Amino acid sequence: MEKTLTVTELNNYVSQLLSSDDILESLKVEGEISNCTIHYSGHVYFSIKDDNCSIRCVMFDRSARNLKFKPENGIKVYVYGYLSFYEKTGQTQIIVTVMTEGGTGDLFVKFENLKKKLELEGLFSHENKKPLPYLPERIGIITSSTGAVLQDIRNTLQKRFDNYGMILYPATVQGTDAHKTIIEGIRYFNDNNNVDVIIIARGGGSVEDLWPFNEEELAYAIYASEIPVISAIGHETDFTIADFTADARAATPTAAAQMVMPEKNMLIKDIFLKRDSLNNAFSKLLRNLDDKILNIKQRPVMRRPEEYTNILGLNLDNITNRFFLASKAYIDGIYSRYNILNQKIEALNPLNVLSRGYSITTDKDGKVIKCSSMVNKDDRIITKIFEGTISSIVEKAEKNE
Amino acid sequence: MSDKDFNELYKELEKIVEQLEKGELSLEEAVKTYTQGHELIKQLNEKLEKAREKMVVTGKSELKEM
Repeated sequence: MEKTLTVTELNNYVSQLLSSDDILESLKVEGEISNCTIHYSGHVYFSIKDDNCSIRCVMFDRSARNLKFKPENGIKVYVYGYLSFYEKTGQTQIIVTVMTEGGTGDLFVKFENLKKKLELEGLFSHENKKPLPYLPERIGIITSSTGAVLQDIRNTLQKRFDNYGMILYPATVQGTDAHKTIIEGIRYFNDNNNVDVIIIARGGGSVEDLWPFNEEELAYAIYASEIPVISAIGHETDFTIADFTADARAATPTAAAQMVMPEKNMLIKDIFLKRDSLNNAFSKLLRNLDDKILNIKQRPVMRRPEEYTNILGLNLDNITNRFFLASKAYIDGIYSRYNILNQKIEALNPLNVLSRGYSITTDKDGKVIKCSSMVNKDDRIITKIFEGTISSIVEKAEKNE
Repeated sequence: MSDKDFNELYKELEKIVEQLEKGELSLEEAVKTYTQGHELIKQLNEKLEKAREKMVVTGKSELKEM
């Protein structure tokens, strides 16, 4: 049959078996503290239990020193550590290296749910983020009026821009209602519109300490602010809902001050540089213009502007001549046509014939006598000659043979 | 004086001269055209004279600045 084991052999075997298991090597167990005793050596002995079961735990002095809370019966906790089998008594127990309060887990779930909800509502979207002012005249700071955070911000601002403007809204940054004074601060600055940017600042702390910055109400207040908001909460590794909602997130309060305020020295240096390059560019421009004007001045029309009118004058004289010539030619043409006609008419004038010695004879009624039979003896006839008329009495009228 | 500019008036005068040079106008038309031409020549000369004064003055002030 089976081999008989000694108790030592059994407990050895169980010990080996348990210590070779990966799951048991690295545990995170949730439960409620009971039977807690703190030994004078500093070791903490307790059990953790749920509704049905319990298991022994020990937290040695070295680990227990880092506890953020005093272990007491009834507190819900997470314990981190490994399972150990105590061969002497045959008991299993958890060697606890880290222990946190169980409420933390609830907060984490709450945080994640709220983050998802607000993200869906668009509170974190980049399009809705307001740009920070370049050089704020006044900075609104919402933080505790006592404490290192305000001093850090002041020192940084002083170093960068000695005549900076700042308005402090003293707020409570710790405790269950802390977010309410912060919201009041945001509304104060928005109602008075007396700052260009708002910094919400707080130093580092535990998750619980920073919890006011995860409040839904604060997220809406930041989102509704007309003035850009910078969040500067805790350390680099801490992210709060306020950080996601703010228009910019600074890792630390000092970083927020650096982010919002440029260095005066650098600005002055930059202004001088720009002034120099402006001067250079301007004198270069003037030189170019000078050159251009000189160039234009030297063109003939600018050196002797009367030349242009002279040419126009010549043209005008020219066409004026043509005008008068044409007019004269026209009149001459009419005259010459008239003369030709006149000569023709002259040639047909009967009086011209009379000048050569011919004459015209009419009876007393003015009828031209072309045949001798038209008159009788003693008729009065009138003869028209070149110069004057002759009145005669017919003596004899006979026809030519 | 006419509102038309020098070039416009000058073109009108050119047209009139061409008409006269062709010699096809009736006497009445010719007289009318001649009168127009004469008036144009007068206006053109006045305009030119004014321009001439200005161009010369501008030129002189320019010289002073230089």
